[in-house]
Amino acid sequence: MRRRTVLAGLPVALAGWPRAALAQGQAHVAALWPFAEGDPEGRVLAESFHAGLRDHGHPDQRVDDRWTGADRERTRLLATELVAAQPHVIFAYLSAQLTAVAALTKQIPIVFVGASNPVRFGFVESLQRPGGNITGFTLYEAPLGGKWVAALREAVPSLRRVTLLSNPSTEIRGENLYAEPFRTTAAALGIEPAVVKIDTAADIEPVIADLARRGDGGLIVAPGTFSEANGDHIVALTTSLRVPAVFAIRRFAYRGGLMSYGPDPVETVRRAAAYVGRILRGENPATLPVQAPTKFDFIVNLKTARSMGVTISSALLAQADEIVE
Amino acid sequence: MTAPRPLAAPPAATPPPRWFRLPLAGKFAVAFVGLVSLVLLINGAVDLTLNYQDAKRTAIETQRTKARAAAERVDAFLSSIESQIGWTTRAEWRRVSPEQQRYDFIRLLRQAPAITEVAYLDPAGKEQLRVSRLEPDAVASGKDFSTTPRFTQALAQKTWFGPVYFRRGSEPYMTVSVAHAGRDPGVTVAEVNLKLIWDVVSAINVGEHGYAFVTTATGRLIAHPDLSLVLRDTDLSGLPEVAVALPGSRMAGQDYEITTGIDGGWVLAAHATIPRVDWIVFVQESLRDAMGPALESVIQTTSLMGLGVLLAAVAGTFLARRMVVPIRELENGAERFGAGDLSERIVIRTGDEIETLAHRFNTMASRVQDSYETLEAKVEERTRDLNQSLDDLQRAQSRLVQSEKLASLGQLTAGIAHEIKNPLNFVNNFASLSNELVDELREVLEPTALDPDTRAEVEELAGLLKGNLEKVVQHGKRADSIVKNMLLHSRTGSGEHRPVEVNALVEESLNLAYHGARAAKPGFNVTLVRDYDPAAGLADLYPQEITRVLLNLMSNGFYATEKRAAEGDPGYEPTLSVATRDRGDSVEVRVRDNGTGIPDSVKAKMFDPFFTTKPAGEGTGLGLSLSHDILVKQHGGTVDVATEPGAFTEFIITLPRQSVTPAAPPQPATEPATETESQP
Repeated sequence: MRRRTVLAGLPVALAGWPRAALAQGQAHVAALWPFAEGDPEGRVLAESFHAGLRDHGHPDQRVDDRWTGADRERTRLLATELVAAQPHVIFAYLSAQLTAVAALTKQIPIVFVGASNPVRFGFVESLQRPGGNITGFTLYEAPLGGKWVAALREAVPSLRRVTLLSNPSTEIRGENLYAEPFRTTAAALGIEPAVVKIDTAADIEPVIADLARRGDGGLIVAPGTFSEANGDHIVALTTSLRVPAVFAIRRFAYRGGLMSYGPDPVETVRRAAAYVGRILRGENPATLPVQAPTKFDFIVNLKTARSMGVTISSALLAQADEIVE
Repeated sequence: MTAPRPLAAPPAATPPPRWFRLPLAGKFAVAFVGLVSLVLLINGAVDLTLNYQDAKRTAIETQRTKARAAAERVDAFLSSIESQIGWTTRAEWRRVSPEQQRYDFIRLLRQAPAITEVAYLDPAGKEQLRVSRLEPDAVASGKDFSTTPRFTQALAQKTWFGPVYFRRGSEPYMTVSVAHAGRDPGVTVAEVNLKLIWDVVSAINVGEHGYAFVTTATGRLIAHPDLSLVLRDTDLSGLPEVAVALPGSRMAGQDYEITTGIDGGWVLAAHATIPRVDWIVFVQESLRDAMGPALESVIQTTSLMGLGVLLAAVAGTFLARRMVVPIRELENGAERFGAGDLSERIVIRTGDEIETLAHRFNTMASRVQDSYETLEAKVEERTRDLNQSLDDLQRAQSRLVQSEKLASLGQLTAGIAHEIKNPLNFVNNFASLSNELVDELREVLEPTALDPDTRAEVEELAGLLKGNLEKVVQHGKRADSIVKNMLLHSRTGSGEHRPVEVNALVEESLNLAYHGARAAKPGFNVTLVRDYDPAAGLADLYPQEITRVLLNLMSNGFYATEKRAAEGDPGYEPTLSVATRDRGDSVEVRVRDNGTGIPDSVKAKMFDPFFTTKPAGEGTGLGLSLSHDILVKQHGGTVDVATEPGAFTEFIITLPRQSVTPAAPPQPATEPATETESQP
């Protein structure tokens, strides 16, 4: 080969390398977590993410984990910072985080976990072909709104009213994603549905206190950044005020919530890490389909039930995938 | 040895094609390597083809087996779902409480993660119960499914696998309905998330990097180790291997075998169908993996081939060199021979035909060399003979020319002499007569008285007259002598020839000459050296003639020594040597003086008649001419002269013992010839 050809081909060859270089651990992967730094759940998920990267061909990939907490301002700030650092891939956990980064860049690939209806949110064109720089894994689906009501009703047959605790992070154009099936099912079951939108932790107590006061109400805690951050608080309130509550986020059932019905995010995060790996290897996020969860776990906390004086039927227990005692 | 002319190169023919211009080694090597390579290549190609076909067949067979195994596993997945559903299709299930039914369904969902929703349709096709992972459970919704395939087909076929559909355009789902047992059965309908076949498909190992995937009968991908391909709604009907597998394809039932895979690259593909769902399970393995053994064999064969060609090249070159080196040697040898160098020999020790050829060359060369040598010797001999002949011829020719010249001169001289002799006789006779008449006149006048004066005057006149007449007589006699000599010249012999003792003849002549010379000139002095060969013996000669010749030569010699002595060289000792030698058939007589010698200009003409170096009146110029005549013409001998001016002159006379020409002398001599001219 002539030297000229070699020299001419050099830039092309070098240009072709960065992808390979990305796989060598020089790539910059940033992750945005809706947890406070040091939060155990956050740590478990982040670890799962790292493990996922490790298992999918990036054993030495360093991840720039950013902990936003539930604070929207802080989220926006960190997201801006993150995008400015021009990472190769951004991982966003939950809708609020995705929203924050998605607004800032159309180039940097973003892999999300948890945006329930990314098409309606406008993050992707379609599930099978996202078409842009965003792809990922959904955790929840709208019909679960009905499922939660049904579960609550089955646990507490005397239930007459149910409040869906909503917050802006789970809303699309002012409407909670789960509200529609929630209302439909509630109506079918003869239950009075209420969707309460709250913005701050302080707003929680009045809602639960109101339900407790009425005595025949139940609470559905929709997923989202707000719930992640204030779940423990809600658990404490519902337990102390004896309001039967069903959580979308499974860990709150373990922490004292009566029940939870939702997917296991650890596994999903792990699979999302695989997507990150594939993007690092040069795949286009536009062609990676958005995947939906296949399995939802029903967890019942019998301890809480007993303390609340709720008797869980055997039929319900039979449905439970996990029982906390 | 004379160098033969180098052999001319044969005329150049039309130049042969370039290939033929290769040196022999090249041709040989090319031919050898080409042949071996060809054989190897053919062998390799056949081997390769067979091996390749074999390996391909084996690989494809393996792939087919794998495809069937994969299909069985996918089928087993369906069967497991069917059997799990079957748990709710017992005949008595219809009669259990709705709570129990729901409980069973929930259990079913838990046990079969692929099932996302399960419903019970009563015998009338109305939905009595629906349990879903996502939706709230529906009890006795009463929805009518009696006309839908999921009901009718299930009743007809017991189990019905619905077409694959895609939830939200992405996730593949399939409806599975199983009719219950017993009379008047209901139907359990399950929605199966086919994403979970992933577990099955990704667990199928096809070689190291190969994998299995499943498509519908239309080529829509429903299971693939890369789930995202499935979710992306991938239609594979365009892929050749899938296209041929699809029902309705021209090549249905055949495997495409080698093709490009989904993600490019060559793959070996095989497929198997799952008839009850019309799915096609494909297995594909990269060609490299599948054909690993074949590739190895190819590499092996190729490397063996390469090794073979290399060996052939080495052997070819070696053999070509082995062959060409002696041929070059032969060529050089032949060139040397051609150039005439026959002394060297070609040394080749190959023990084959070339060595034999070299031997032949050598033999040829030595033959040629021998021939040359013989030829040269012969040529030399002939040349010598020819030169000899030429010399003889030339000598004979010159003798002949001389003889002819002298003969004609002799005749001329004889004629002239004869004509002069008559008037000369008159002159001489009348002069004598007149002399006598003068005496008579005196006697007559004696008695007469004359006055004294007159008498004195008469006496004086008579005396003068007498004196004149004596002079006439004297000079007439001289003229007569010349004429006589001239007449002698013209005759070939005189007297009788007889065997004569050569030494005695020579001695006699020498004495005669010496005493003659002494008589003519009292102060003459010369040293005589005699060297007679006792073996000189007899020779048949005309002794008078030979004596004349010898006298002539000797008196010439005396004249020469005298002349040189007159030059006043103080240490000069005049010498005349005479020698005889026996030469077998002839006798050689040498007369040598150490006189003035003869200059070259004279030497050429000295045998010519009338040529003389002596002052006018001293010689007639006929002495040597006559001598030559006598020796050569009369006796058939030779006369040679060796001389060096100022040093010596040697006449060498050769006389044959028996070769006197029978010719008679033209004019008989009345008196022995005496050399007058050389006598001082």
